[in-house]
Amino acid sequence: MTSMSRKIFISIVGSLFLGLLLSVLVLHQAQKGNNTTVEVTRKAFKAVEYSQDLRKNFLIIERLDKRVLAMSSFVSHEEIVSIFNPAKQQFMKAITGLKQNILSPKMAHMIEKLETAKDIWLKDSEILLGLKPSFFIPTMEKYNRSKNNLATLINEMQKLAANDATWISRKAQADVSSSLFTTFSIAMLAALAGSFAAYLLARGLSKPLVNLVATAEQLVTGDTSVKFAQADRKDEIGAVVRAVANFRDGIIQKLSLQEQLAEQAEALQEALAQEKHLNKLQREFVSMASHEFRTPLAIIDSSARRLEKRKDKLTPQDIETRTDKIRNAVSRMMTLVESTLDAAKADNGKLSINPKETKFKDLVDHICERQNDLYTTHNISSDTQGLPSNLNVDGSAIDQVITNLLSNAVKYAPGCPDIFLKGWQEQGQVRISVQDFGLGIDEDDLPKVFGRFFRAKTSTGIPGTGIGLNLVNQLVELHGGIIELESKAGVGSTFTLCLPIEAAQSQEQPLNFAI
Amino acid sequence: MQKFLTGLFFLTLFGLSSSNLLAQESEQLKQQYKRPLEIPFPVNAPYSPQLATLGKMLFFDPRLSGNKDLNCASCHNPSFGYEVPIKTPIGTTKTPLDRQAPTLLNIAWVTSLFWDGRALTLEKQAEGPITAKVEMAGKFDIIIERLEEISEYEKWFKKLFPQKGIAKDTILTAIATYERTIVSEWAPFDRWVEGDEAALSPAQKRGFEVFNGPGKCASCHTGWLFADNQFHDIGLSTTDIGRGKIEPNNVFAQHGFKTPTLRELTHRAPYMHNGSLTTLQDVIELYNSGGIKRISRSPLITPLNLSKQQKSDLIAFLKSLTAERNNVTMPILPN
Ligand code: HEC
Ligand code: HEC
Repeated sequence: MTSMSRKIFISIVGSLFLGLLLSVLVLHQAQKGNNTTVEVTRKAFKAVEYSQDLRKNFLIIERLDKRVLAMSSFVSHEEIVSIFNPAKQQFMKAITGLKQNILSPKMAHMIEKLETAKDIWLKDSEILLGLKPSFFIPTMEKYNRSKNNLATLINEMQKLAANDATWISRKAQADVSSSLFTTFSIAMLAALAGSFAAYLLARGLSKPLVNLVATAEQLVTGDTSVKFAQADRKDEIGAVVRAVANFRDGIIQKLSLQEQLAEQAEALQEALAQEKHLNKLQREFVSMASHEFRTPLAIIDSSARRLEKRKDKLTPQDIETRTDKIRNAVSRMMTLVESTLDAAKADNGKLSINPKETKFKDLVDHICERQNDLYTTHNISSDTQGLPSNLNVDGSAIDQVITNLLSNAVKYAPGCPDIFLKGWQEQGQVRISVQDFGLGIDEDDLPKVFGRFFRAKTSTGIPGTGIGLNLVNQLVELHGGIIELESKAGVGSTFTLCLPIEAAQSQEQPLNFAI
Repeated sequence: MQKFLTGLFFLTLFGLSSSNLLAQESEQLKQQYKRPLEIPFPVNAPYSPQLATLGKMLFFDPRLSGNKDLNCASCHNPSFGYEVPIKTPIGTTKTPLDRQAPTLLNIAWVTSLFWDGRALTLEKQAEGPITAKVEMAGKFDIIIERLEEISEYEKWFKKLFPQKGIAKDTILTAIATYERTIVSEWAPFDRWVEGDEAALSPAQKRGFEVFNGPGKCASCHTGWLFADNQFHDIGLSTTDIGRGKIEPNNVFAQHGFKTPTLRELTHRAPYMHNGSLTTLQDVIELYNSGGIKRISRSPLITPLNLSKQQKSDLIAFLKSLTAERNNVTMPILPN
């Protein structure tokens, strides 16, 4: 070998050696930076995760509280314990978790506040749920205050954790890049050839690292579509890539959880709106019902007084008119009481029918006759020729349905004495329509007519509780049938009862609405 | 004395400092109206949510009345501040009762029950309306029989009272426990007391001054409850001797009635023990005139000579004691 080539050889070997040495340095530096990046990113993710857990379990307990405080139905101690205790445990775990992954001084401060707020709220909750005996029960206002205070803090915590996580991973990335840059400069100056080799080596190492940090940052902002190259590398880079890939999977899970939470929150919001609406309806119902009770009471009272006052001068006919009035008023009240009890029955999902072979046409005729006798102001013209003589139905339920439709027709058609009832068969169905020429129903109100406690705008001034049609509808549905409604404000309404000829076999149907 | 005069001198001299003093005084006044944040329960009848729920169901259950036609809410209707919007309620015999149903709001803080204070505990009180012939006309043996037929009631009484099950005193305890949870909602006035200046209108704030000052209302309608749990004759025209029946020898007890709370007044017309005043205007006119002068009339009641403005401010203030919302959910009664 010539000295030249030896020189070259030595210089190459030397610079290679130097390059190698520097490469080791770079590698070391890069790994150090990488380790801290991984560590910090993990911490950030953990904090975000725990802040979400916090919220989730808070919501679980809050929903339980609401149910128990409504006192609308029994919630057993055992059930309360079985929901409350695990949720509380998870809640506490999330707080401990947050304490171990504090990202910023602000967050540390927030956790302190959260811990105090949590103590107050949990204590209020536990007393109200009967888990902690006390002779001083928080008022709703106190409970709401402690709850709202905590809810605000939890929200803020969630935001803060997400923000801190983004900021921290960005900072870690910057640190790694700058330390790599210094090392590279030295390497460049020391040995061009070595540095070239080192550069090649470093590039192989740093590029995936920098990519990775960018990926992590992307992840924190919620973009989970990122791809991972070189995950199968056997070295530390490969390990790091796999670790971050694992985080990505975690994040995807978190995100879907978050979505679920958002859905849950939305569902809660909807339930709340629904509840508010029901509350309003109920309030109207309560005042309506008490009014309903009072009107017949007043009639009874005045008739009885008159009887008493004029007891010597009364002819049998006078007595009859008065007693008729009294009996009518009594029967109105009975109907009201019964319909209220029926409604309560329906609430418990206990409404049931008992279909059997029934003389159907006779039944309908009988109802028409009976109701015709009852009404002095209206006349029912019935055409029942088309009805089958026998049908498998629950007679008393059908009686209730038709009677209700007829009495509605009378009630909502003051001054329009004609009511038509027609029965026929069509497409495997038995149909009975009840038509009046009264007030009719506004178009906006049509879809709501069968709802609980609903009273149409046009019904203003006419007593009623809004229970009847709701019940009618349920009874018909139990038969597998439906009620069709055609109506126009100011023209009149036609309710058509449609029953399948192959009558309902199912006897009970789960009813899912609650107050 | 001299010190006092000099003080007075300086006060009038520096209007600023005197108005400061006024503000301070009104702050102190507000403190007396702070709401309690907890409901007191008696040691012998502790709260549990299941017991309160049971009580609520019984409260709304007509099966507690002889003819299954009335429940407690028939006369203590949540939509009308737990009263009825007629002079006096009508019981099962269809005749009006002698007295208006008092509100049940904040009843946990009321120490003597009924208008004349003849019952001392809610447990004792609830027996009255259930069995009274003119009210619900129920009989406990029949009620117990009826409730025993309802499996859910049976189950819950057993659970809550393993020894006694369904019995007169367990029924009453449950109802009383529910009643204690009836608390008036947070009203604009309460938010003002807590520091929200915008919660009351200027007229309402002036009304508060009249209430505590020239109106002298606060001498009986005290604290956040606006009631002192005492009996007074306010000069109302009535044949009812009220507390006089319990204390026949006490001159001042004649025509004396328990001071009622003033919360949710807007839902609770007509007013007074006999429902004889239909509007708040009528009430203010009565107080302004001092009512009927008789020996039993409280010395705190004298003609007031309030101006027109003061009267309307006072009414505006009374209205600030009604909450905007009132969420009462009905229980689902077991069958
Ligand atoms: C028929 C109407 C009526 C019914 C039903 C009724 N109450 Fe009353 N209630 C009254 C009247 C009237 C008074 C006042 C009587 C008096 O002071 O002499 C009253 C007084 C009360 C008081 C005292 C309130 C106070 O501030 O002093 C309570 C508590 C009470 N009722 C609870 C109930 C409960 C519980 C039920 C159901 C078991 C019930 N009431 C059913 C009419 C009724
Ligand atoms: C001497 C004590 C006393 C004073 C002073 C007094 N009240 Fe009364 N207040 C009562 C009593 C007692 C009743 C019930 C009287 C009755 O029903 O016969 C009552 C009833 C009322 C009622 C009707 C409440 C209901 O539930 O029916 C209103 C409203 C009222 N007071 C407002 C006022 C106002 C406003 C003032 C000041 C102008 C005032 N009171 C001053 C003792 C007082």
